[in-house]
Amino acid sequence: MAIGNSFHRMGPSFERTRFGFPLMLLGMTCLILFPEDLADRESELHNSILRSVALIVPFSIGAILILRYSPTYGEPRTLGLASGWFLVAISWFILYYGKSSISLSGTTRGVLVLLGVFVSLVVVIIGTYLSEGSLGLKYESEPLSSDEEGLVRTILEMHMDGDEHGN
Amino acid sequence: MSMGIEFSEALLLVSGGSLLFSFFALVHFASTYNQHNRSLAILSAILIGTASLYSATISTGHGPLTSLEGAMASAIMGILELLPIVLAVVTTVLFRITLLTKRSVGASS
Repeated sequence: MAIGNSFHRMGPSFERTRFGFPLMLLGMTCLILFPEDLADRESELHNSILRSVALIVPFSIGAILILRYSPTYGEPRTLGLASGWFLVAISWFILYYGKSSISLSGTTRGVLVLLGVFVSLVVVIIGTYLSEGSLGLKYESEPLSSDEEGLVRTILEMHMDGDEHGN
Repeated sequence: MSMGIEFSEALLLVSGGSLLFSFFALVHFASTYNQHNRSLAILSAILIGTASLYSATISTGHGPLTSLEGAMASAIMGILELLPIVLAVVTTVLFRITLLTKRSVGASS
């Protein structure tokens, strides 16, 4: 799933981007369907992920519907809005009956994990800044030739729906 | 430590969070490799991952692989424990969007 997400984020300039979404789906499928003979700790983690997926999926779809059919961001439509809130209510129902209540120790554990993520993020940002800074600018690119200028102009005009005069 | 969490567990959770991030960073660096990218930023992810694995090993007293598995499993479950809070916050925002805003947002709003 992580590899698929990274491929997907590379954008259309790279061919591997088209493998991103299928890889993510494959990873998700393997995570949900195939685990067998898990140890205690792994089984606990797998159950925890499955419970969360059962909660997140209806909530996410509901939130998208609410945003799409709310008076602020989309075209107001009562049926769409009601469907969204119904799905959000279902996810809260699952949360309530799954006994996933908010506890102080659970919240503290989550905050400690986020602290670790934050520390790691800061170190990677500093490392990236230092390594990019040490590389420096080796050479300056040559200016575009007249043919290249024409090509760039044509591409920009095509994407902006303009004619050959730029209108 | 207060709130029923021992120091070793707290260290394991912080290490787990750090390992989780460095794992995703390493996967990202490897997956998005291209010949024009000569940045050495991947070294920082390797460095923080190694340091986190070391602290997880100290925390559990087990071998590196067992500690890696335990720390990352604890970290994922720790993040999932925050899910009810995230859902509550998002639900509040959705409630506000649905009921309290009566007009469309213009470009200058």
